[in-house]
Amino acid sequence: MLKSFVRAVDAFNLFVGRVTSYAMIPLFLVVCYEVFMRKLFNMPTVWAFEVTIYLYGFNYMMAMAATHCLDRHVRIDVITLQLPPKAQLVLRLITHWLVFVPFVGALLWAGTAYAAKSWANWEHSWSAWKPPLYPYKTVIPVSLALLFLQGFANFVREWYQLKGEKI
Amino acid sequence: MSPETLAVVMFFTLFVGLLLGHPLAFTLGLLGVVFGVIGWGGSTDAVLALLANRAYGVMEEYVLVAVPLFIMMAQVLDASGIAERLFETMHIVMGRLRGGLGIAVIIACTIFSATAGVVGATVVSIGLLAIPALLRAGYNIPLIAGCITAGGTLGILIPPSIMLVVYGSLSQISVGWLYAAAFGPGFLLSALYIAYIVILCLIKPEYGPAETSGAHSGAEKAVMFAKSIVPPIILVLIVLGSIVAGIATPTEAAGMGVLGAVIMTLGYGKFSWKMMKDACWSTTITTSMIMTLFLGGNAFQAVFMGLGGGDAISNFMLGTKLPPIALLFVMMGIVFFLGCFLDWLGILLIVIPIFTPVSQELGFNGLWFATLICVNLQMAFLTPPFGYSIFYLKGISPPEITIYHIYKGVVPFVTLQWIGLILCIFIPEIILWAPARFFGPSVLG
Repeated sequence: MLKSFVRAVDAFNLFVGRVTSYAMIPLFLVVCYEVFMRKLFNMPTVWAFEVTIYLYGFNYMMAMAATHCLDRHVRIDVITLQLPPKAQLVLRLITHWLVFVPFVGALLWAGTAYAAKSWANWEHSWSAWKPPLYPYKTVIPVSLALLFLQGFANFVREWYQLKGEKI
Repeated sequence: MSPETLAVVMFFTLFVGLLLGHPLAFTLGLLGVVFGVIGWGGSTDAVLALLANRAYGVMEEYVLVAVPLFIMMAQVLDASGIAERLFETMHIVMGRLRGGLGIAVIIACTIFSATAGVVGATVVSIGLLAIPALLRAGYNIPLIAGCITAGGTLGILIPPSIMLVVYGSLSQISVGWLYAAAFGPGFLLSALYIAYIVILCLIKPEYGPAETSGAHSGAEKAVMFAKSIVPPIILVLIVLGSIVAGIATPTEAAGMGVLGAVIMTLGYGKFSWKMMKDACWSTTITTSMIMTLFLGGNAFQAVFMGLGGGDAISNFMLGTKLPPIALLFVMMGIVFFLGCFLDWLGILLIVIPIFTPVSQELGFNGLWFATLICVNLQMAFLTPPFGYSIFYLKGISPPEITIYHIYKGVVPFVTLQWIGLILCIFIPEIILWAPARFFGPSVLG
């Protein structure tokens, strides 16, 4: 049961990461489009600047969970790698509750309040284009919730590893 | 406990936290939350609001959009096979010289660095070709390891470097200025590496034997040279030229750079949708790693500065009444020391807000000081126990290259980087000549 939960979270977050990674293609195309329109035709768009920002933020925020799934967040493990494998696992399990849960939890809480306020005020950007800001701000709690979930999945995986079982 | 004492405690807790081996982003962030709550008298709401604001601040920072775009450009160029072509050409041109293959590695890395803003792509793609070639020629193993790691690390210094983009966004210095300033030191280091290899192989010919096989005519060499070097140079001129000339922002230039790189893959017949998807994927994971660190580091930094930690350290440093040059060396020493254990972004996030006011008090030129920090941070890639270039090289090395060969190999190159850094300190024109030329005397103010 728990094992299939972990597998499902992994698969889901890697899928989300895959899909959001394709945001890179419209990102560079929009930047180039704006350059051509402004420099060659002298017809700057009103939307390119903000669309660029949204694609960039969406791309890396939504991939935080996939990055955590692949264990690609930088850790300084030169010292802990000297410990026996069991001790390393125990340390990982402890630091998950000691560091990851309080910080990501706090940020998730803060991000939810932040996005909720934007929805409540029906907040729009100040630019000439005036796009709504609440969908973009909602990316913060959604991506952090996925990251939090991935952290829990990693915790369960390592818990099983400690018992000598692979997921 | 006074806020300053709290900030000092926070700094030391950071070192304990680092040793636990948990991802740096979350460790930094948690310390920000905890010390923020203590420091602001238990007001959780204020700290949480600050966190959310900072997180959103990174999400709407236009300059930082250049980071994923430059990473993407490097990934696509990597897939175009340009690094391999550069090395193959240099191999054929220089191989029959004593130490020539080592020089070929440095030149290929230097040119590729001018198109790529990251280190990983350079070390891996040039290393994969160069290691077997140099081993076959009978090169000294530590020398092989040293020149690939040091040459590849130039990618983070020679523009378009993502480190300079991040520096620009954290301080108030224009990225265009930083790019212009980093050229001098980048080429200086490259020249120092080449000089070292030449001299070493003159004294000890067995370290870098000349190749005897594979003679090519002068005309063949010229054609290969033109085919592999002209396209990347055009790309560099367009991307960097437009930034330095002030026509395009770094973000716009980076977007155009991706387009240029895609066109190059089409030209070399290497384009495929799978290649694009893979480039998107590895770019996204790398960007996400960098930006998550930003998120945590920002929380740490905001609280540390809010508690007056920056003032405490700068007052302490200025209070020692040491001459400015001695304090400069102290700061460089601290950055070097941190570089043994932390990665470049972690160091920048901690060090910039603390050292920038000190350097201003001491009357240093801001652009010069920023570039010195960036030259220094290259060593963070090479200094054991924690150095990315070491890990990248180890990841692609055959078993006969051990981690001890690599450690031994980086020592002379780190020494050369110190020499380069000291030259930049005593001859500021190495850094300031190009920006003064392009942007006028205002950069010297």
